[in-house]
Amino acid sequence: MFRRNILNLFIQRSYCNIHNKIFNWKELKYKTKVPQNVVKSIFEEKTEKIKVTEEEIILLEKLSLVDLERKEAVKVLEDSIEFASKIHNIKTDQNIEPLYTVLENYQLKLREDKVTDGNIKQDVMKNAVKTEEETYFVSPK
Amino acid sequence: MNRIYKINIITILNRQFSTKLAPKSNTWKSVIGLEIHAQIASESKLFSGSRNSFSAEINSSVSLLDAAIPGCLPVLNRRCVEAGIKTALALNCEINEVSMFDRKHYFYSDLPAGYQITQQRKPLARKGFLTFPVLTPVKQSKAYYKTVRLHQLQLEQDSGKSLHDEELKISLIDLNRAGIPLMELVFEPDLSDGEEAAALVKELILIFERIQTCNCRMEEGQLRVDANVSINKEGEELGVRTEIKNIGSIRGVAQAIEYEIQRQISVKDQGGVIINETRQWNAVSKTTIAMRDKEVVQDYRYMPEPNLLPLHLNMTEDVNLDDLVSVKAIEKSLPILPQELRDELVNDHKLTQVTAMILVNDTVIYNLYKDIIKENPKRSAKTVSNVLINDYIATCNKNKIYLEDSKISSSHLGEIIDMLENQELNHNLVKLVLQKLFETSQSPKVIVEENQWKQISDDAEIIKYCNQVLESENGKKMVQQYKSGKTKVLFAIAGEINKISNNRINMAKVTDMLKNILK
Amino acid sequence: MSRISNLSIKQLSRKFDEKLLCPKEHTLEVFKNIKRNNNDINAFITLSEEFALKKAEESANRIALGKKLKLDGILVACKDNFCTKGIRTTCGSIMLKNFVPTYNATVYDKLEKAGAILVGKTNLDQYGMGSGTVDSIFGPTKNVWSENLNNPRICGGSSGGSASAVAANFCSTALGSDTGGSTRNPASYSGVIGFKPTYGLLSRHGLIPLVNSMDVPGILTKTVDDCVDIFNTIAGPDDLDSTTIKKSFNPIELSENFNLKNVKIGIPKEYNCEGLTSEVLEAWTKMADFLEENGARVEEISMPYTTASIFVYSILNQCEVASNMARYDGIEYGHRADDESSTENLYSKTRAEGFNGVVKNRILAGNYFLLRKNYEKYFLKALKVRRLVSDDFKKAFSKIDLLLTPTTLSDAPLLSDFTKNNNRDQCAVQDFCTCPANMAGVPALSIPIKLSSNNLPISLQLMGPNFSEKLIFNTAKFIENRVDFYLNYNKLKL
Repeated sequence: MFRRNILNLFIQRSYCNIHNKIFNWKELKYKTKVPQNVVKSIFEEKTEKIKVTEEEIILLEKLSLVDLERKEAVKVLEDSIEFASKIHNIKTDQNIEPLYTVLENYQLKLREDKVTDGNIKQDVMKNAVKTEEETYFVSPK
Repeated sequence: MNRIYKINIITILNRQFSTKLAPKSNTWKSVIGLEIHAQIASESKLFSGSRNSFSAEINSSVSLLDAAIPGCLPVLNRRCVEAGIKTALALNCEINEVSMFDRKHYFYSDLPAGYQITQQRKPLARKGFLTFPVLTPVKQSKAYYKTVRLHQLQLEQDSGKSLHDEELKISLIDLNRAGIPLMELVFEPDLSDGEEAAALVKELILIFERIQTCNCRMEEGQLRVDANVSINKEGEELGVRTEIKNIGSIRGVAQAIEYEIQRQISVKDQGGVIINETRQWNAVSKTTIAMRDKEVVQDYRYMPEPNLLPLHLNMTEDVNLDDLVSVKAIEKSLPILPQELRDELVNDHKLTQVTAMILVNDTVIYNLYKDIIKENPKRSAKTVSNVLINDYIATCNKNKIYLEDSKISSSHLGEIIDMLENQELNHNLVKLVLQKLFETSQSPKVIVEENQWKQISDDAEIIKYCNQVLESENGKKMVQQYKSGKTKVLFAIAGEINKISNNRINMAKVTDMLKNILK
Repeated sequence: MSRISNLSIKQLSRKFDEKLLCPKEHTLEVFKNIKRNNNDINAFITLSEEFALKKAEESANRIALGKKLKLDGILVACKDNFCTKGIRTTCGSIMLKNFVPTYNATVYDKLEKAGAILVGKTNLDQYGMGSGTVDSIFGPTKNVWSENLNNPRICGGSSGGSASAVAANFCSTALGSDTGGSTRNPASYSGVIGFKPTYGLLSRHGLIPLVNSMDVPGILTKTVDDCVDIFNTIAGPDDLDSTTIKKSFNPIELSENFNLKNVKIGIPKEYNCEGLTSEVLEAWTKMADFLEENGARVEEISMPYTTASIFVYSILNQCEVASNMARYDGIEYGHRADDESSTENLYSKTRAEGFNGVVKNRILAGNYFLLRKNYEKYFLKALKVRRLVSDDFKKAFSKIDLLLTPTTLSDAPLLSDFTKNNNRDQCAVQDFCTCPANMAGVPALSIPIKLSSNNLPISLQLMGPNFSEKLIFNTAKFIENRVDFYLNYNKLKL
């Protein structure tokens, strides 16, 4: 990554866009508060090597009803897990509560027990490719 | 129309197993845990506004959410939360101030979303217990109380229904049931046989009847029982368990579990191993059968339901706080529960434990009992319970009339009890009077009058009957036997006198009188 | 390019009021523009011309009767993951290629009820899983600012169709959705305003979910004023979405004489990350200076968990995707494979045909993280780190009022460069600056600042604490007034 020198940049660039007329991009009035160099992550960059076992693949395919038909797909899966595993470089103390929802301080609103829906069979079945006389949904046995 | 069928006391007491099984091997101990799904009695579904209905036209009580149409979100039904709390309080649970919903994933054609919304990790309530009577079918005197712990009570949605068309090789899917609210009650494995399990279910039904959170029509699937069964030897670790799914009747619970215990024992005794599997109770063949599909290792991949915020409850005394469901308000509204009724019968009415159990075990009988006493508190609790248990129920059964369908009023029954207590009617004739009551609409008094069943208490008349027997050939013989020391013969003589009076004579007076005459 | 379609909502509305313009005429003219230019851009999956003309007629009638609604005659577009009654909603996927909802998403419904006219459904990455609008089955959407449409720039994503439609004057405003930056990212590349409100202020009912706990409907417009108008129309509680905030919503009015005195602006230093281009850094630097010059107190702050967001996002995203996609089995709706040999075979084949590789991989990875043995290790861990990310914001907002950061690390990449990386790496780079706001649920707005040396838009992002929409809008408008990016649209070749 090349080092950026903000002053150089401002001098070098010459814009053909209309802003130049009304907005002065060329000089700073204050000592900038924006860091001019990359701020490195404070977390380690360790990567855990992940190998998904044959058994796990069979189980995942079964649970997902999605086939990992190609070797490549297994590689992509392993790569995804490997990437996610980097989260273990971030320490979480025992006392940190999981954040289930950003609305954790709000209460769940409840519905009154009234019939307000249903009797819309046509709507419910409208997008089914196959039905039994538009009465039942159908799956093979 | 579907009939409300409740197992009444007599069928419990006279329960005979059609599956005759060998007596339990005394070296084996069985351990039973129940998981019960109770449909919540509500107007609408747990997360949608479509009707909670058993008999609606196919796929008509279905909202877009129930069919898992993309983009629709769940909104929790307040009444279902209240019903869950009420039930949890009746089962002595600790209520969680904050509970959460989870998704439980599995593919099935009647589960349109591919997951069920339930409460796995932080349920509505936990750590309950229930003490309930176990009335053994054979010997009433062996009745006892048992306590079972409740692991947790959770709210969850029901799945749809698929009908398998064998000919077309297709499944027909009806989503009317999808999303109907359920309470799942997960009990600890504290039970030791099928009888206890059946008794627990029976007690739950009684509780539900009182708190009205579930209608318990088992034949409609409103109360479904799964039983985990294992056997082990004293002092050993628990055995591998099997799970019997969806048992649909109280009798079925006892039978299925007893069958499964014996099956496991015979497998073990023949050196086999029990495998952890799901089995189905076949109520016709009276056997449990392994369900093939469910043997695969299942991992439900529970995940917090992101579309529902945590459910907060109001635990404070201020019942109107923030529009939250108030646990205290529900607590205050709890009716008297079956165990309190039994305690009252034993402590205040001085009835025996067994009588109390039998009376409370059927709400119709209990209500009659209460009404009869209420109409005249001086009536003897013992006589009332006696007539109800020994005469009334038997007469209903004989006439194949469901207790709840019987038209006999508490005031008519009260009249019979008063006649008994005033020595105007012999107990022997109560069943006859009841039979007439079923057939006519006359009052018991008129029936007794017209049939000349009034008790004979007039001394002169009694002497006439006594003499008639004493002077007969047989009578003379018996008198001789009595005088030679066989005092028990006295009852035989009295019996003869009763017989010729057509069961009308005042037996107490007859025995007194006989003793005098034969002195 | 038509000068009329370049008017703001308020300006258009005034023209309708003054009978200088009729909604029908306006609609027809815009459709002319769409027909001329959409083939190049591919912003739309479905155009609803007939429906739009009917609605325009209704608007015209109301105006004639003096019963004009707030948005009568205003043309809108919807990302194709918002359900629209009677108009197919595809999510850019084979799975929902023929799905015709029978109901309206709440946010769209509110627009319709306010008189707005739907011109069509816009392109997106399948189910919103991407940041380039490159892998819809309807093909990629091209950036309207591309120097050469034969070697186009990406428009960003996943709400790329919506951003392009606004930039190309195909509509006044478009709805997007924002899970990790999907509204702000294409806004940044396309030179429009992209706004993600506080989680819970806009209903998600009818938005086909990607990650329920982060998804927020987003708004794309040309100007801050338009954005406020649309936001005011669609915000507020919805009985059909339990995750909307119950409190009734008070429409925002921008201050006439807003000034930056007393506004404390934080510059989180971690946003200067690997890959940030010098031009973006320069714009960021200059804008911070400009705000300071105008009275704001600007200070550098640290939000150390910024870099952790992307891992949290990756795990939670894949888990929720695995769960949300479990419903697609071909039975009730959606693609159904031609295999009736068994339930399992039908499901597997339906899903094999209906999902692309990205969706499938996320389902598998998500299910892996959710396995009983992995739940704590991945899912729960991610929720804990999410707490830390969110706490970063809480701490920051206890001292400062707004954050100023880049939206994207560069101007729009070339499609050919972008597609060299796989979906995961694309997202990891693209979402770096945007996804922290979704972790915390806070509002964020991307505003175009200037053109790069490639004549492509460069944008910056403002973030504030929950419910600080008014301050964000005021500040954005203050910036907008000075940089006047709006004039650049005249240079678009469309």
